[in-house]
Parts: sequence; structure tokens; C-alpha cells
Amino acid sequence: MADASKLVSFGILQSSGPSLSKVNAYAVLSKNGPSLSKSNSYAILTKNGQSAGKLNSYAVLQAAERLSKVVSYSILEPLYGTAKLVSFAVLQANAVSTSKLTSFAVLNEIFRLDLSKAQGAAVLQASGTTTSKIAGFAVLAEIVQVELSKLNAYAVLVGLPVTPAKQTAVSIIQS
Amino acid sequence: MTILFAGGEDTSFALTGTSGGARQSSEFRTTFARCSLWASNVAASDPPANRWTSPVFTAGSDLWLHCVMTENVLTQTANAQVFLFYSPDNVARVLVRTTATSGQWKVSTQNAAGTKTDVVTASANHTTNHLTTVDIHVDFGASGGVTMWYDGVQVASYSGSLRTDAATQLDHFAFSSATNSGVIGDNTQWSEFIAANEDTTSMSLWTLAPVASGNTQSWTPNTVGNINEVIINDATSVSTTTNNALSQWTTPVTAPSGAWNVRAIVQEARLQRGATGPQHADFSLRTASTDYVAGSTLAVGTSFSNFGNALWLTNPNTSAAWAITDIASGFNLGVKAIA
Repeated sequence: MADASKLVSFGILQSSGPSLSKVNAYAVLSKNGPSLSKSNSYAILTKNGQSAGKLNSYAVLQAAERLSKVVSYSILEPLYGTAKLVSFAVLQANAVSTSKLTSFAVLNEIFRLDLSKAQGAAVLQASGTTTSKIAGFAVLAEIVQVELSKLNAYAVLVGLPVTPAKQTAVSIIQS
Repeated sequence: MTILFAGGEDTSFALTGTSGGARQSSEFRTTFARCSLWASNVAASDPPANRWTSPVFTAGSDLWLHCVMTENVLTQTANAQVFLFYSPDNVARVLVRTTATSGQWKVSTQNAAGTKTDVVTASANHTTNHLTTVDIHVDFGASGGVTMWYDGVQVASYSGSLRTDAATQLDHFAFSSATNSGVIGDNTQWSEFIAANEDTTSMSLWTLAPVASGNTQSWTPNTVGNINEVIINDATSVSTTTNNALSQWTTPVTAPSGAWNVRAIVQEARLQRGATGPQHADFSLRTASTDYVAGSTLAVGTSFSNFGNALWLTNPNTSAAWAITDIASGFNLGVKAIA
């Protein structure tokens, strides 16, 4: 995959879950520049039917260098603008060329390591051995719950005054 | 006369800077607390680059602060800010600072321009590896004054106005470290913070961390280990998609040795919400076989954040002061998901 500009044609995120139509509405990868081979460091994840300008501010895939050397990392920021996604959606690469993109497209969740429960996270998978076959991705379920990660409480105690166990009254009478 | 704030863990304060945290190295009273907090103050910056700040509480001109502290070393730089007492305009008006003498603190005032004036220096110095109860009474009234005690013994007293500019009230505080060797364990270790507008010198803070699932615990998984961490760990949690679902947990019921009254129960939690589902939460308390909510609508965000200092100043079942016997079997604390 020497011509990175062809990435434009396959960069589509699809949902593998039950809410396919919903995911399709926002998960589209496109490139930022006229030639990805020249846009060394990024592609932009835009949202179908939404303002690309708005999404640009938070949906960015970064690559270390030109795509033929996308060895390590990209950051996928949230589609809904949720702060949580910013911090855990990391796209890792382990190949040294785009022809091996199939082996690296994984989103790791930092905060919740159990990807099987990764609501709100995303797993990006490649289905083939060349970039042209990167057709199937699984992406993004919304967080639909309220979560409690730490609960604590205190009792403010105040010591009771010390009461003598025995008191003796003495009267001194001076004659 | 009331309790304004109480807390002692990383969910109780906001950490400014990156060099700070909680430790479980027994640098605290183990029958009362689970950890100590520390913040590096190596550079003795103004204000400290690393510091813990309390939530804003009810503003007033009479503020008592109680805590427990210990130091492994006494290495300190003069004028390092240990405590900062803020007016509502977020200016630290009263400071407790170090002197050039090891283990010695002093009290200073500060105006909005940053001009500092020392008003009194402690007559006794801290020693190493000693759990010291510190109480500070800041009288921010027109006449004013400040008094400080270590282990109940008065070490500093000053009569005179502490006011600067036009400030007349204080409503939050921060703390950093008196020691500054640069080693985490050598920073001042803090625990059991209580702020009040009444005498705190006989007070202590008993941590009531979750022990087991309570009367109603419908959040999943039903795993107390997911929420009773000493140090924040957002990798594990319990959750619900159902409005009004309760997550109640039992607490310790055997108080530290001593004869105690209870001035307040204080709750804190770390929460986040999703794009849909329950969007808010409230604190839940169960006593006398009855569930109560604090009535506060916590504005839970889409990333985890702390909600602390939820004060139950009286027993909601009796509307009277808490008794130590109220913290017994059947007593539950938790949260409730709300729309």
C-alpha cells in the first residue's frame, strides 16, 4: 500500500452490533489532505450528515509519520464529544507499513480494560491482509448508565467530656 | 455552630499539580482512616504548585480546621505554604507557612496583591514520625485572631484582625507540604480533615468505607471491591441504567475506642454518566429501616469526577443529633441514580 491516498476509499467504520444504523450515522473515516502520503500525521474522522467543522475539533486520528510508517499510534477522540472517550480511545499500530494495517487496528480502552464491556469504547479490526481489504470494523456503543467508581463516607466524632467515675464532695467548715 | 466540611481521601479534595496522591503506609491513625494524602512542595512555590483544595463550603468569619499529620523528615524551606485559607474571591487570606527552623510553622496574612505579613510563630516545633493532631482557629472577624494547637496543646495565639482588602469571610482551604525533601514519603502526610465554625479540638474523623452490599444494592456488579478502593481506580465500578436504582452498602459499625458523640455523617462518591440513561445521582442513607436521600441533584458528568462533602448534620429519622449507636447493623450509605 504505497499510495496512501487510496486509504480514503476504505476508511469506513461500521458497527457490528445491533445498532448498525446508528453507528453508520457517524463513523466515517476520511483523510484530511489531498494526499495522505503528504499528510504525514493525521486523518480525520468525520461524521455523516454532521458538521465536519465541529467534528474536527475532537475526532482526529493521528499517525506518527506518513502512513507507510504508521507504526504505532493514533488517537480516536469521541464522536459525541464525551470527555471520557478522549482519554481512553487509543488506536495502536504494530506494523511498519500500511500493507500490514490489518494487524494493528485495535482500540485499547485505558480506563476499562475489559473490552467485552467496553461500552463507549471501540474495537477497530481489519479483516484482510492488505489495506484494500480493511472493510469490517466494529465501533462504538454509547454509555447508557451512571457509574460509581468509589464510594466513601465519614463520621465526624467528638469526644465526650470525661466524667469522673466517683466524685466526693468535701465541705471545709472553719470554725 | 456546625460542621462545614469533612474528608480525608482523594475523593474529598481537588489535586492541583501532578505530584500528589494518597498513601497507605500507616502514616495516619489506622483505626480512624485508611490513608494519608501528600503533595510535593519541593520548590515552595507561591501558591504551592501541588496542593489539595477543599470544596467550597458555607462562607463565614469563624473557621476551625482540624487534621492529623506526620512527617518522616523535617527538611523544610522557609515560607513554604502549608495551609491556605481562602476568601470567596479565591484569594488565600490566611496562610500557615514554614519558618527556617525545622518543624516550625507560622501564621501569615496575605492580600490580593500577594503581600504577606507574619502575625505569629508557633512556640513548639514538629518532630519526626509523630502523628500530630493539628487544630487551627482562624477568627476572621473584625477584631480577629488566630490560635493553633498541636495534640491539644496551644502553640500559637494572636489577637488582631487577619483581614486584608475588603474580605470578611472564608469559604475553602488548601494544603500542601511543610517538608520538601523531594521523596514522596518525606512529604507531610495528612488525614482526618474537619472544618467547622465550632471548636474542633476534641473531634476526630472516622472513615465509613463500604463493607458489603446493603439493604438495596441493585447496581451491577454487586461487588464492593469495585467501589471501596482507598485510591481512586476508575477501572472498576458499579453501574445502573435504571432511574431511581439504589446502591446501598453497609459500613463499619464498631467505632474507634473512646466515648463519642457524632456531629455529622459525610458522604462522597466518584461518578460518571453516559450520553443516555440516568443523568444525575443523589446520596442515599438508610437508618431505622428507612431509606433517605440527601435531596441534592448531583450534576454527574461524562467523565468520572468527585462529589464530596455531602453533610448529614442530623439523623433524618429523628431530626436530632446523630448518636454513635445509630451507626449500627442496618445502617447503609450509598447513592441513587436519578433521571
